[in-house]
Amino acid sequence: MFSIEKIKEALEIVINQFPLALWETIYVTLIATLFATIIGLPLGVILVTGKKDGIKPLPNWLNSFIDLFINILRSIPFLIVMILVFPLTRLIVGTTVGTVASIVPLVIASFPFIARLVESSLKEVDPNIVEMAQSIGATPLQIVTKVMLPEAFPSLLQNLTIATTTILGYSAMSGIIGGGGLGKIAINYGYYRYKYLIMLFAVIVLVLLVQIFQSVGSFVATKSDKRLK
Amino acid sequence: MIRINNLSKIYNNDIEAIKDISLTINDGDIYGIIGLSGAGKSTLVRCINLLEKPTSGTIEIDGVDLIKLNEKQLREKRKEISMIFQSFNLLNQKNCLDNVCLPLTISKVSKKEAEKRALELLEVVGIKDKAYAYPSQLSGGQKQRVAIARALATNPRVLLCDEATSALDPTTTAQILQLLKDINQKFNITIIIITHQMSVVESICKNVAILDDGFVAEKGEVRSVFSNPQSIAAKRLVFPEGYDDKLITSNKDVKFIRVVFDGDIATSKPLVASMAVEIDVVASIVYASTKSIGGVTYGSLLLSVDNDDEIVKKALDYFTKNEVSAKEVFLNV
Repeated sequence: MFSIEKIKEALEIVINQFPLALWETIYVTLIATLFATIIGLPLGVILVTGKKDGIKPLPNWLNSFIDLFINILRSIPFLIVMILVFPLTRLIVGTTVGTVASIVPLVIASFPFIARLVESSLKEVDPNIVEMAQSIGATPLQIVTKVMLPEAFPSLLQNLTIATTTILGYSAMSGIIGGGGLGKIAINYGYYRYKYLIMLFAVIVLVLLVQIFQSVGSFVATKSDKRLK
Repeated sequence: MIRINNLSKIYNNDIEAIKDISLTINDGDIYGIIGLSGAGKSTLVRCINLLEKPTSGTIEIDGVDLIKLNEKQLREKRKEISMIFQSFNLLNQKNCLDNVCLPLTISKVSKKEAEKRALELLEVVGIKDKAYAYPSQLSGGQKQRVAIARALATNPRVLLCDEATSALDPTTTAQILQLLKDINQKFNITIIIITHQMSVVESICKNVAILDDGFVAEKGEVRSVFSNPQSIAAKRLVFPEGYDDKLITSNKDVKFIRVVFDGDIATSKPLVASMAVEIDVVASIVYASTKSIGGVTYGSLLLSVDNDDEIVKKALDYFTKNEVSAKEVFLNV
């Protein structure tokens, strides 16, 4: 299917360009996940605590607004988000192209997703345990930091792993706006220059990367869960 | 002293969980609140520390009306009113020591001091060796001990027990109740026990209120309420498996004796039969609900004897001699 020359050429590109691309992919994914979590985690907490029967109820209109806001952001396709946030990207990074610039749309596209994941993790916390925390005179903030988050920790870790692998997939897409990484290689060589072999290699590496993230995340999450003996 | 005045709670769906409840609970008392499920027990106990906001009425603890407190004052007050639960409600991701430390770290006690106090408390409840175990590694009884240690951490004046022994087997229940009794005496904590189990009230409570459909059906000293139940709700509790007014009140020529086996002593002796042989008192069994678990008997018997005070006294003395608690009950109309 592939001639010797083609394989040789492909291998050369793999050796020369893959290490940097791999690094860029990991770096962009982790930084984007970090920032998306910094925004998404508190938002997810508010989604749970702000409910009418939550530990710190918010006005109804605010709850509805946050809910709608997250839903809207989540319904826009990532490709469109990348273009829509150009002004914001320029404001923060100074440019709209390149690896660092691709972090901005990644964060915008994934923090609402993380907020929803955090919401679902925190909803799993036994309401009786939250009631116990109220009965010992804990403030809402103490209930979140000392009871809900620690109790939901394994589930949060499991969900953050899902978020990381999703962001990894998005980051590959950002090759279109000049974001670096394995996605860029797959698009530039495979799509624009019909070098399918290189695209194939890039995809294999992406698959392996997702596997590794998922396995490590699941392993740590399971290990940290004290409910299992 | 805890004074509950005209307390009512109506939920949003118009269900009146408790209606016009007034109770006074003295310092150092062990007060039982008993009722069948749906009677409003849990709502009542949650109103005492305001986990549920009552619709009307007042809750005074040492003269302070809890309902008038703002959120911050209420949180401080709650540190004086601890609570233990049917489902223990321990943090599953933290070990026992950290669980007991929780109320202390919330009160900004330093970690070192909190751990020292937690270890002392784990010793009080008898599971210091489990300090570094996680709740999933403990039995139900051990979990409740950890929960009790946690409840004691802030030196509370009141301990609310919401069906605290309902998830435990009879032997463990007896041990936990003994522990609560010890704590009541050692730290002079007022204990309020919510339960549907007669045996719990009988074994440790001094006073009792019987809740029925949101109302207090009857209240008073345990001894008098259970030996002379007036309300239908009380009678139903004394005879859990079907109280039949007709059956009992039609027997006007007899006296009733209620015999309680609380599991404290092993009763291998066939007492009713031996009573006939040894002291010549014949009794018929009107009602019986007993079970033997691990060689220990739990439950109660209702006996009827001839309508003669002398015979009743002989029978009561006989049971007392055999270390079984027995009381005359007045059921005749």
